Amino acid sequence: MKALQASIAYSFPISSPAASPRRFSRVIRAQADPSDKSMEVMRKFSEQFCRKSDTYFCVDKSVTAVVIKGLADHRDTLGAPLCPCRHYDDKEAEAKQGFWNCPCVPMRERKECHCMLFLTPDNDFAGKEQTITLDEIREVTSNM
Amino acid sequence: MASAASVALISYSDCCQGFQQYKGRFPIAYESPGALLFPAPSFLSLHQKNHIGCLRATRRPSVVCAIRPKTGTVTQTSWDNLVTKNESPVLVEFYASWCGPCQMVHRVINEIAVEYKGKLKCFTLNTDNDSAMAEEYDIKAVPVVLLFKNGRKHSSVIGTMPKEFYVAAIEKMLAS
Repeated sequence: MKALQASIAYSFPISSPAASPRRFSRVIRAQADPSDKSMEVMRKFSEQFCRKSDTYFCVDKSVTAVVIKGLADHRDTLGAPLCPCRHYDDKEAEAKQGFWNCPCVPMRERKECHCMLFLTPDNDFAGKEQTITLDEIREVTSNM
Repeated sequence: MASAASVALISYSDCCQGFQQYKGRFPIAYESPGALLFPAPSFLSLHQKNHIGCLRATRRPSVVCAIRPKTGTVTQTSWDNLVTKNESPVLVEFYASWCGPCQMVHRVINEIAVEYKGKLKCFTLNTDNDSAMAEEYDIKAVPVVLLFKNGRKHSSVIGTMPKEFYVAAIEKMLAS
């Protein structure tokens, strides 16, 4: 029991120095493009979830690209891929709460993604693809 | 030629009246008349290639004045003048910076702004920059298109709809 308490106590000084520089970088990142790492994480997640849920990307890939970029941006700034297609009173509280973190509850329960990232095949806007490359994302969002 | 130029200029200032008072803040010069009139052929093909969603939604792309925006921007400070006190019916598109479908809807609204010039004023509002207005109109999921007549909210279209849907809502409002 004592050993367990000690390990909990030690975890705090280790995690807190790591947390503060991250908080610092938030301010800078909010202005710029999302980090390459988050972009790659969200791109891979989108492809995997598409296959897993039998859904497809939008026929207009720029929609897909912008949403993936938005998710990556939220992952950088909030620590969670909060849905970029909603308005929140308090983004931080919402990201912690988790209902609208991608894949959101309506998507997991009813395959409803109003962001049009994951579209069921019967949707008018659904394309035939379940993959998107980083280059594609960069290309279609370059003039934003 | 001269008459075509004047018609195009009038229509532009007519549908983007909101820009006039904020002209100084925008980095792009909206005054020069040359760019508006003759889109180059290469630009036409680029437009069609990049806007599949737009093509699907309307089947017939209209490239009239693609270089400049056809919709004005509205913020909390300009809301009263541009929306509530506007004698013309008004359409406001609420969007978020990283919302993919919003861009699709925006292209449709751009077409509508051109087709309904003189009958309807079209504006956009970024909910990320202007949360006060978003909260006042209870905007949750974007895109949301609100229609105003005589300064009062007439109807709203939530989500991404085909162009016909927006046109039907506008016609209904104009007829009421």
